[in-house]
Amino acid sequence: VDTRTQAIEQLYRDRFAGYCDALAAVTGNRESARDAVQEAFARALRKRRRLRREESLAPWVWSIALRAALDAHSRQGTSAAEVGDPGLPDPERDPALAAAIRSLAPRRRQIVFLRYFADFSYSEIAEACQVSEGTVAATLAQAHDALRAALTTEDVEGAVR
Amino acid sequence: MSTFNSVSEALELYVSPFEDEPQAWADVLRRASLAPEEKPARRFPRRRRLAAAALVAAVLVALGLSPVGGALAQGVFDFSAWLTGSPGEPASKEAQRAFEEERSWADFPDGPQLRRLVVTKAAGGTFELFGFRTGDSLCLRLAVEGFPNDGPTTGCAPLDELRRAEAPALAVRLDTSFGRRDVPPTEEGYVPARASASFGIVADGVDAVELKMTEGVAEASVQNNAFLAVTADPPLGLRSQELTAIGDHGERLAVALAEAPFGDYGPKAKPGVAPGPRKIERRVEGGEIGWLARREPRGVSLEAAGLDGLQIPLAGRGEVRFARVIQPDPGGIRRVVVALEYVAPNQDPPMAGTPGEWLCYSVMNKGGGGGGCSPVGRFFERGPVSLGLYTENGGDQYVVMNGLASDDVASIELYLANGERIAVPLKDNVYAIEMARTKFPARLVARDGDGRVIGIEAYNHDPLADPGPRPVAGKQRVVKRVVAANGDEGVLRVGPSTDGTRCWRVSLTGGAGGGGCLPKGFKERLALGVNNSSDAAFLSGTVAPGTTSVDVHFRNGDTVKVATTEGAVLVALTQEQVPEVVIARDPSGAEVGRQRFRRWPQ
Repeated sequence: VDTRTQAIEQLYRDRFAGYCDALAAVTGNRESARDAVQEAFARALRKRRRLRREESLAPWVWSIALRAALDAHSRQGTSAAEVGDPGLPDPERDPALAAAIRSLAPRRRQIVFLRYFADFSYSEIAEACQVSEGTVAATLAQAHDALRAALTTEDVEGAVR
Repeated sequence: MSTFNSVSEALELYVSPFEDEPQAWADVLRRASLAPEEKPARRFPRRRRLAAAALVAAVLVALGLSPVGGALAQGVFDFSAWLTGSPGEPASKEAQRAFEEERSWADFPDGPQLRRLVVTKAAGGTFELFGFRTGDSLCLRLAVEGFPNDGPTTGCAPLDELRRAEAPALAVRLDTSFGRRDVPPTEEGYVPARASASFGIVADGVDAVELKMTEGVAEASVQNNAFLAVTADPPLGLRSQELTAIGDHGERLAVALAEAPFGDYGPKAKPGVAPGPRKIERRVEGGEIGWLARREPRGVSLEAAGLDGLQIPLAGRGEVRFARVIQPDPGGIRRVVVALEYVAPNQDPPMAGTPGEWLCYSVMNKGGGGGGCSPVGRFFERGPVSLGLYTENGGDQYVVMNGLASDDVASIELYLANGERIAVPLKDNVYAIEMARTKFPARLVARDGDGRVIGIEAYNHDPLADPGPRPVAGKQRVVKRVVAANGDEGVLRVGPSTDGTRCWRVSLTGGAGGGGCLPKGFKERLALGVNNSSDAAFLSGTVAPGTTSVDVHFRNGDTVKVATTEGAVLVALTQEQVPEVVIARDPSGAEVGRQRFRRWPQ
């Protein structure tokens, strides 16, 4: 087993749930997210020698996973633009947070998921989403403000505690 | 803890449903093997590889990275003068006596002997740097003559920082100001200092220390394994940004430092991710501290510690019913008061807190310290470990991470950005540990007796730095002043941010206040909050564009209409006025926004 295969397996062990969570935000479906993650790591293994920089592994696998998820949708006749209504894959576990997450724009939501669920660093998110690190920081700051507002509203109204 | 952190925490505490699913690496391998292995990338011919190696070697030589030079260049930093020796010379009897008179049991209990390290004259005064070891810490104390209103100032760092040093110098405190120049204050109320001082320690072999400032470069005096840089008549807001240690072979080595904040705002935060576990492995609720509930006499009493109840948070508003002083780390310099206090029902809730018994703690120092209070039953509502941060001075390079842990917590570990993992001493449910600001982001992880993660507190950037846009210095204007019934004043300032957005800030008598800058692209909306000065409350915040007035409805049925000032609001509240809902209106009187206020828990 070469070192790159070991690195990919380690990434899978460390971030399986995070990738599934982040991808569920894209697919809107727990099963398809899980399947896309499996497929992505398989594709990553096959293409591992194409990876140019070791530190790009996490965003590189993410981009493959995203492609795999969108491919699956396209096979089902769904375009990327029509991808469900993404949110937390299991909203009843934390209804207040799920509702707050739903209030975010999809792009912000994806960056929040990559940051918090897939454990991506700012540079990894920047690479995965093809934006600057500054944009990542600003987007996360905006998402925090939006989440804070949404969570506060929920609390004030007493809808969810 | 700010709301910002509570959002982060809400996200981090979210437990993924996928956590429960078995991973299937075998399935990945099976899927991968369905397709043929790709051809390996073509390798460079041997001749090209040799050429590349030669090029790398040439670059290394050009950069002077051959093993030539002194010990510093080889990464050998000898701090033995501080770890085991006694640098400098004994302090004068007068200096030692002044130190003895000032220190208390809660500061430095083992009677350390001061060592005189560096003396320099500047700005018409004499600056004398002393050093001493106490417990597992080293401390530097800067005494000044010629500045009658400024006493000595002391900063400390853990000795362990020297044992694992990654540079031949260590800053302890930066940009401490002394005196005030005889000039009118700026519009923000600042008066430039007569002198600014930074100090720290150096390893053997360091000949000079340079501090690159926001304007110019300061050369420090280096003697007896310590450095002291004093700038006379510094420009307002002058800050150290880079520190370079220069070795006796001319080596120049960068030393990490954390910039001091200026005014209400810190330097720009560097984005990052706190390392360490991010998932709660076992959820615990309803935490408590058993010995406190049973009133067991752990630690020592306030009297034995030479303290009085006035140094406890909430003192004066609540009756101290039980208090003990705990030293969580036998080798540490920190003492923490843990107290149960009672707030009577007839006290006004916004001023004194919910009636009933409160749990308070405070990291002790002269004149008080960092800490906090919460109703006893709610102290561990958010998790089994609390996290507070305490510094004595904005230029401190070390913060004291402190807090209480419930009986569920068996151990606490601190994960630092540089990969260090530190076992945090925990005694009688109390911890207090010094941490270098240069090592943020950091994550505090609490585990139960089985090693499962039950609590996480994280800071993704240096808490003395600002994650978002900051106000442009010199551009914040006073747009409103209001005076409360007791005479306390609130001052509202508005101005542009470094990102081109709008900032607002309210400053209250006694130093309290609040405010912020809107992130770029953020849709402005009604966002008000209550700030308390020592004895008065003020309602302040920002409103959405188009809002010209707000109606503030109070729980007692009163309503007041307040005109907005440049998109912001500032109102002094009376004791009876507890906001319930605020309605924003445009010039026609139509409602354009509404904000409800959470009721105080009873």
